[in-house]
Amino acid sequence: MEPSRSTLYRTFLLSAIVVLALLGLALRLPAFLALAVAWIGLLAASWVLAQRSLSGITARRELYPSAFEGDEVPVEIAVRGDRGARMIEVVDDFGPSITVEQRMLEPGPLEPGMERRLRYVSYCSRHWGTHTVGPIQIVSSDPAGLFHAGTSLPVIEEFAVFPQVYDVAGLSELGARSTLVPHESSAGRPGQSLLAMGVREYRSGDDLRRVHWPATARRGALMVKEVEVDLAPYFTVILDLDRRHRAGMGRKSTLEYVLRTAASLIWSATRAGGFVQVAGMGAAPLHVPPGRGENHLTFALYELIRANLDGTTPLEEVVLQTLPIVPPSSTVVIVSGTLFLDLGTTGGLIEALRSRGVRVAMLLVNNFSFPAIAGWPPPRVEIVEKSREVLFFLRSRGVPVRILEEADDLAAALGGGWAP
Amino acid sequence: MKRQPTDLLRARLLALFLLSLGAVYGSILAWKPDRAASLLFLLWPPLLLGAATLAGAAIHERLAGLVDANVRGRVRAAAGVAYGAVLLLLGLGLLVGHRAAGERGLVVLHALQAIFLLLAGFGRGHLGTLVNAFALTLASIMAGGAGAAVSATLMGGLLPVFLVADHAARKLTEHPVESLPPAGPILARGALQGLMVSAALAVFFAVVPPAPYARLARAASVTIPPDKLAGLIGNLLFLAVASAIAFYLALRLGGSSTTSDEEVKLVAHVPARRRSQALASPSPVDATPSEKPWSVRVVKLYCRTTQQLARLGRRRRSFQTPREYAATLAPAGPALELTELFSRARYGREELSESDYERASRVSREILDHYRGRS
Repeated sequence: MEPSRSTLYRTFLLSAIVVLALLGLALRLPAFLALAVAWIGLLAASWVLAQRSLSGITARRELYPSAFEGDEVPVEIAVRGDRGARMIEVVDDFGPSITVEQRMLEPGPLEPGMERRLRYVSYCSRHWGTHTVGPIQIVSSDPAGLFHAGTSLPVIEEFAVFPQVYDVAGLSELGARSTLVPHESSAGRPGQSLLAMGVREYRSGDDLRRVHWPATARRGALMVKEVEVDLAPYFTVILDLDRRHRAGMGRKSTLEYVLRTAASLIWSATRAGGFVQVAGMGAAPLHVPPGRGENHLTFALYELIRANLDGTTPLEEVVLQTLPIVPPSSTVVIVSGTLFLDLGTTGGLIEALRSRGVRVAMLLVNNFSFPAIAGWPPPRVEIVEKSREVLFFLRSRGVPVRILEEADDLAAALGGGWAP
Repeated sequence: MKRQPTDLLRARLLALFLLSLGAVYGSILAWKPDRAASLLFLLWPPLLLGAATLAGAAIHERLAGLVDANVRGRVRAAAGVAYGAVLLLLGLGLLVGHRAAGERGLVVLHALQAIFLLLAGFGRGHLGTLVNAFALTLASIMAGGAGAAVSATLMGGLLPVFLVADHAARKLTEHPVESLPPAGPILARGALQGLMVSAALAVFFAVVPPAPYARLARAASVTIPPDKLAGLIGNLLFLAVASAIAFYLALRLGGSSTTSDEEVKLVAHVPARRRSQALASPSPVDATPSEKPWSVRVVKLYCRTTQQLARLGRRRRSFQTPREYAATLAPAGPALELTELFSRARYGREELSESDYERASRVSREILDHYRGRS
């Protein structure tokens, strides 16, 4: 890149001073020396002014600390100075974006004690995970731009980039319907819902506000309105974080598929108004207690991006450990990192869950469709045979199942329901 | 919304014009004071330099986009060598005390001053103009006398004014700023610096009048009596002020892109939006009836942008990868962002969305406006 013109002009001035000094001394002409001295004074004053304008400048950043991959993120930086300053460049390092450096100009005048807000919009182009935003650098120069001075302010924050999520179409088939008002999912039995079910005679303890006066007048006895009970869908997502199922790299890896699928499940279930809990066993246990709403979703995604395929506990064992916290009549979605399940144990677990009215679905990531990073994969024929066996086994027990391959587009695969 | 710092751009051109005029007038006063007595003779420098400055500003963009930056670099290098040879010959002539050679050399430098002003878009800013003005000042100082004092004082004082106006104009052109700061205080700081330098030099020259270079002094030279000299300097100052006013009026009334009075919308920031939120329906102007996928549109947009950049002098070389090419562009952030979107659209499996296309359009506009807005 071409050097900035300020640097060129400074070089020109410095060279001119040298030429003037040489000519002045060689030709004994004081006029040359006078001009050289005047420009040396100008350069010295410029250097002092550049350094002075930095003193007492502070900055703070206002930023919502998380976003999804591909989201645009607005960032505000409030700059404050102790003394008047002009033309300050504020440089922020926004780690989640590939264009890390964001430069803004505060043209000033930044009056003492006054706060000025600068805003930029960046874009989460990097992979999901936890990234750093900051530090903030303040670059200032003299009015002529001949000298620059900079300082780095330790305003550093962590920023979570969540995996891009996709709507999981198959969830609605499991009973978790997406509604505009999540709390209106109800069941036809007496409760506290807003949906009326009918009227009945007054019983001691009934709320007088529920008295249905027209029916009372007709029957000659107190009648009260009866409403349906609230029923929010309840989801449990169980993840396979077994390190033996690691395969592939980057965006085409089992870790990526397992975690993106889990994030999409949590997202879809939360949008459907359900309570969601997550369980998994990596090197550290992954446990998100039941909850719903946007805050819970954010918490669950925070936990998810910290997870890794580094556990040693088999999936069947994780399901077994999770059984006590799965409520009856709820939905469990199991995300496995392999097709090679122990069908005997898996069958037993499915029966145990179904005996309590729990609906079970499974998403199986075929780890052998990804490039292997350790050991040799089994022959292709064996993998095809195993996938047929697993599909038959699970479908024959009424378990909706979907196999995810490396070649699959995750958005299309998850949005396509349980078929193939 | 980004606005052009019109006042500062005008001030920069005015400072450059005055600096050139000061150098030319100073050299005339130092070398041919007898000619300075004729008002008609003194009219050509402001007319020529003013026209060259205005024309240079008007064709700046066209000139910058005429050829590849690489070719421009080679042409600059060749021109630099030729110019250096001219300066060397002139310097040698002056050092050996060959007055006639010096006078002929000055005529060449006068012409070059106008050429540098006219071809500013071809070079690195206005460095050529400054170097030539400095050379004229050096020649004037060697001749000594009132011309040397006027030349050195004007050069010393006008240079900081130009630098301050140039720095502020560049910063505000390159960075999107929603509200422009008032130009007055910025220029006042430059003027103060310039006045201080000029005042210091004027005091020095009042105490120690500039003596001519000994060998040149021995050569035949025209001497002007001191009472007539004051009148000559008065004439020059009057003409300089009058031409500065005329130049400023020409700038205000002129229609070149850099001197336009309109505040040009360069960047319009779109509000941030979460992926989950529905996209606002595009306005009828923005609506694209084509049903092409967004990836194809992003690729085409990238190609269009690179073609326009090539016309602006930022051609992608055949050996450069998109990322290497992006590293040569400014502003760096939008250039990298556009390249990233292009790579995803061209080589990625994932289909891009409308918001990606909108973002690509925005950063493309930012890059192109950066090069169009530079003056």
